[in-house]
Amino acid sequence: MARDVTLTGVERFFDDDEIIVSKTDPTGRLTYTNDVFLRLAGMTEAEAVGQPHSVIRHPEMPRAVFKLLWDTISAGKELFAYVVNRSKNGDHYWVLAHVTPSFDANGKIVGYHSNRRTADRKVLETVIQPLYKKLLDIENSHANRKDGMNEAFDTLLKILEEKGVAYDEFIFSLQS
Amino acid sequence: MSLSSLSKAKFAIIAAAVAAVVSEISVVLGLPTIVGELLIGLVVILAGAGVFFTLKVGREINRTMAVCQAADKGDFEVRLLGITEGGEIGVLQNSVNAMIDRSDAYVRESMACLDYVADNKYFRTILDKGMLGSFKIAANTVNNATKSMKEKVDDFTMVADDFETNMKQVVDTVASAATELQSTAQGMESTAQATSQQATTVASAAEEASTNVQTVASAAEELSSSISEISRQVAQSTQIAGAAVVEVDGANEKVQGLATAAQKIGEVVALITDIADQTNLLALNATIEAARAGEAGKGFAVVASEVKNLANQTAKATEEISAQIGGIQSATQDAVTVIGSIGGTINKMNEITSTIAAAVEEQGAATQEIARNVEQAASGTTEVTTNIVQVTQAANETGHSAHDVLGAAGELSKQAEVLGTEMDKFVIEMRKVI
Repeated sequence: MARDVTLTGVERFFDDDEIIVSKTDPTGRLTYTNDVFLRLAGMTEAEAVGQPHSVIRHPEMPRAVFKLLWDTISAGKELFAYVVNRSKNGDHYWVLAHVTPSFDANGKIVGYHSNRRTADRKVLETVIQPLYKKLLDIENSHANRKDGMNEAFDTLLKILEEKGVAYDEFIFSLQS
Repeated sequence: MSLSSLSKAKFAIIAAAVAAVVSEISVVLGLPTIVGELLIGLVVILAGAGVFFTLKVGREINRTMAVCQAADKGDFEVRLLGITEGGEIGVLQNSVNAMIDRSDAYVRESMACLDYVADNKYFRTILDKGMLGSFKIAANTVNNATKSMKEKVDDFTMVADDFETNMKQVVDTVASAATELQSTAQGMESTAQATSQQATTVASAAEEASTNVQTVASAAEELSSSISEISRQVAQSTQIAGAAVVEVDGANEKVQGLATAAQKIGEVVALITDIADQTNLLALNATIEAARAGEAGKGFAVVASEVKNLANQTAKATEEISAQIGGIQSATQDAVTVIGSIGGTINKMNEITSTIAAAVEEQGAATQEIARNVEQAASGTTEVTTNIVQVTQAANETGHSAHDVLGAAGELSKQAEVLGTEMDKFVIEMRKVI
């Protein structure tokens, strides 16, 4: 449903002191959204909770990044990612998401948690946006979405390999 | 319309009270009954609303309380969903969510950060953006601690690198020293063996030399005694020669006496010859006289002739004697010559004997010198033998030592290898730590 909404090109911002918080069940359905989430997404809690997290997916986000995200967190590890999200009305907002699994007392993953902070503009413009455009172009060059995603994913890994760093270290190297 | 149920309840109860008062006033004022009834109805409705909202406040507070209690027990998964309350209750409930959100975020951040630290990765600091107040202070404290740990680990890594480099050098040095030591010990061992062999050769040579020296010594002794014998013989022959010279001198004297006697005989013979000549002459004269005396003289003539014959015979005999004496004289002369020659020979012999004696004396001295030298040679060879025994012993000891050293060097080499392996293991383990 959300996929069809026209993009407005309007960017929304939030305060550096604010964090966007959401929780999902193990399948990725939203179970909690804080007030900042709802404000940025332009949704009510009733509209958001119960929906898959992709309800705020922006079409300019490479799927390869989400593959990396899910591969990582389902393995029980944390992941930082720069993400552009889409508001309900077609606006967008950039975040630096910190996604972590939530464990029960036995260490079983009972859900996922995402804290999102404001993203550094310079990092976005000099590194992330060019990288995502490249990955997205690769994805769009394939008729089959999965093939495109896999090639983009391989490309991302290759870029990291050339830099000689793992993804997590790469993301932290961008922090000033 | 952002009022909380609490405000709404307050409002409804106050409104109900106001309506009740107004209803009483309306009775006092004598307003139509309908107004009073309406007002009472209003009071009832408002009071009902007051009860409803009060109950709702109770429910919301209970819900909020439950979330707070769960969070208090460390459950950061709980949140208040479906917040419909406005006003202070809504603010309270959103604040409770925000409080848990921040705590949750901080706990997740610090946990992840420390997980990385536990994994010896220090780049993963806590992002302090969105961390406020104590959270920010705590985040900065953790980050500073991480940074300090990283610095220490970097320092330690440097130390470890230095250690590895230095120890590697040490191990390499030990290994190469051991190898060198091994080859040196091997060289030493073979040198010792060669020395031992040569010493054995020298020992047998010294033995042979000793035997030869003994032979020379006994030969010199024999030579010495034969020289003494020669010396004795020479002395004897000198003595004999001396006696011979005396004898020769005696013989010469006797021959000389013989010559003188012969001379004297010659003189006597000449006298006899003269007498014979005169006798002959007298006989001749007698003959003549006898002839002149004719017949008378005839007998005389026979005597004269007989005398003449005797004179002639005498002359003839003296002639013969003279010839004999000449023979004696010439023989004597020959004897003198021979005796002189014998004397010369004896003198020559004497000279030769003296020369021989001198030579023998020299030879004796030389032999004594030889004997002395031989003795020295003997003590030299003895010394050589003694020394060679020591050399052999030393060479054997050296060989043993070299063998020991070789063993030790081998062990050292092995140990160096073990050390290297252990070092590598240690460095790997150490690297795991940092």
